[in-house]
Amino acid sequence: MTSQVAWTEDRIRQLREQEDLPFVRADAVGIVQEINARFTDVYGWTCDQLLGQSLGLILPPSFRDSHHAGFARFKLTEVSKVLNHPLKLATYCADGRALDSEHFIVAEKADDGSWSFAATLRPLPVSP
Amino acid sequence: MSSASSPVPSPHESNLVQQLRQSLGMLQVAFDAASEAMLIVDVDRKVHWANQASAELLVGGVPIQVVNRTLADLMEVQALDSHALAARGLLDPGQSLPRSAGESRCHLLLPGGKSSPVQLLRWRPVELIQAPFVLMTIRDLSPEERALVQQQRFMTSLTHELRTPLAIVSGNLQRMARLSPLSDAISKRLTMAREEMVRIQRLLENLTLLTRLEVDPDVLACSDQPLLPLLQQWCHLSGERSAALELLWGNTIDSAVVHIDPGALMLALDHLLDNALQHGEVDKPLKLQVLPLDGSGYCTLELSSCSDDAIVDPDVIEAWLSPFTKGGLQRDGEQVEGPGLGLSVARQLTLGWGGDLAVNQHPSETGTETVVRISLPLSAQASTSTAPAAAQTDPA
Repeated sequence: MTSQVAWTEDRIRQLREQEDLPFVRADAVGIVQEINARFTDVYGWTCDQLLGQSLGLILPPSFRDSHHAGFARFKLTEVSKVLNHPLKLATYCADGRALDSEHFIVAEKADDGSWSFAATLRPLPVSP
Repeated sequence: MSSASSPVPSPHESNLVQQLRQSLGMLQVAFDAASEAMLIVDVDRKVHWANQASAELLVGGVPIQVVNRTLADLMEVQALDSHALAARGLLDPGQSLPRSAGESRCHLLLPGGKSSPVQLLRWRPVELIQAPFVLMTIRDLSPEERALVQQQRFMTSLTHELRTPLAIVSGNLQRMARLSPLSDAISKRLTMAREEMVRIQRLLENLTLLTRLEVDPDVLACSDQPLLPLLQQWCHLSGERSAALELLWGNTIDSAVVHIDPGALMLALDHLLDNALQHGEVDKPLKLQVLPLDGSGYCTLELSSCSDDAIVDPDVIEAWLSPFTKGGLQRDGEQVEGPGLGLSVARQLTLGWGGDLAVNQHPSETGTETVVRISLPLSAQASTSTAPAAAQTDPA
């Protein structure tokens, strides 16, 4: 295990432990594997609705092309500019609303070479 | 947390998805490697797709932060050329998406009030089945602008350094020509030498002008001008050179008001007439025609001349528009060959006032007819008052 992987694993654990923030984790192909209770509270998605579905589901439809393109790009390059820093993005709620949220995304590479991704989402106040 | 429960795709479907994902990734890698900013914009002027360069330029971030934002939210266009209206229209959801490609040199005012270096903003319609979009590309022109400015400085220095020795040589040639008696042979050589001096001086003037126009097409002072008095004045000033010119203009010219630099129009017509006189046959028709207005917002002038030369390939005609490309005329000691800048200068002047210049040839009863068309933008007021009804309703 490289020091960078150890660092990202540590960050995923840290993200998960921030129980006051919505948390989501996806596998190498962008399929949602885990959400926490806070995620359900804020965005309305339940585990039944979201687990096994594409991460694109929690983005407004108009953002999905860009999400899929970025995801596919990462698979080829393992380089991304969205990781490890706060990113303001719209998040799609189960009821169809879009909430601006600050996403903090990290990626983790397992020993078998596969990646998984995790993020905390901090809902931002609605602009007047 | 509970386990995932979604339909399991077949191996064939999984392979297909994997292949598509790889293709999509490759495309995105390629577009993100481009130094030009690229955006696909929908009819509401919302960004549908963006590459990395556009995200860096517009939000200092990643493409997904640009997506779904309106162009007006991301930028303000300050056009530096005559395409300001079209460029601003790109940002206005109240207007139809452009139906033809275009470009404009501009500064972009970015979020936070930052102004970009000079950019080349290009747009091109992308007609998809579901909906129309526009592909926009934005290229930083500052390296090219700097090179052009350096080129202009070089030309200015060169012209300055050559002007004094040229004046001295010209003066001495004139003094020598006044000496008498001179043999016919010497007199003829002196005349040729003086003509060559004139040619060099004109070459320098044209090169300087061409460079200035390339650096800053807005060097022209465009204003609304009635076309008819301008053409009459040009004919008058051209004197004998325009004596053989057949002038054809209909009634529409009476009210035609164009938005141009009058000096630039006269200079462009001078160059075109020089070319026509030099390459056309003296005994064949030479015509200047104002074409009827067609609702395009432009007035077209057509200068045609005839020669016995064979028709040349369109590629060769296209090359005539480049500097130092000459037609078939050879030096014979009687007629002084031009430097091959006339069409280039005329074209650059035309582009400077927001028009265009095109050349074509076709066979006619009197030989090969060469036609040069230049377009002049009608003033906004004239354009709306004289356009045919059908054109006025064109949403483009």
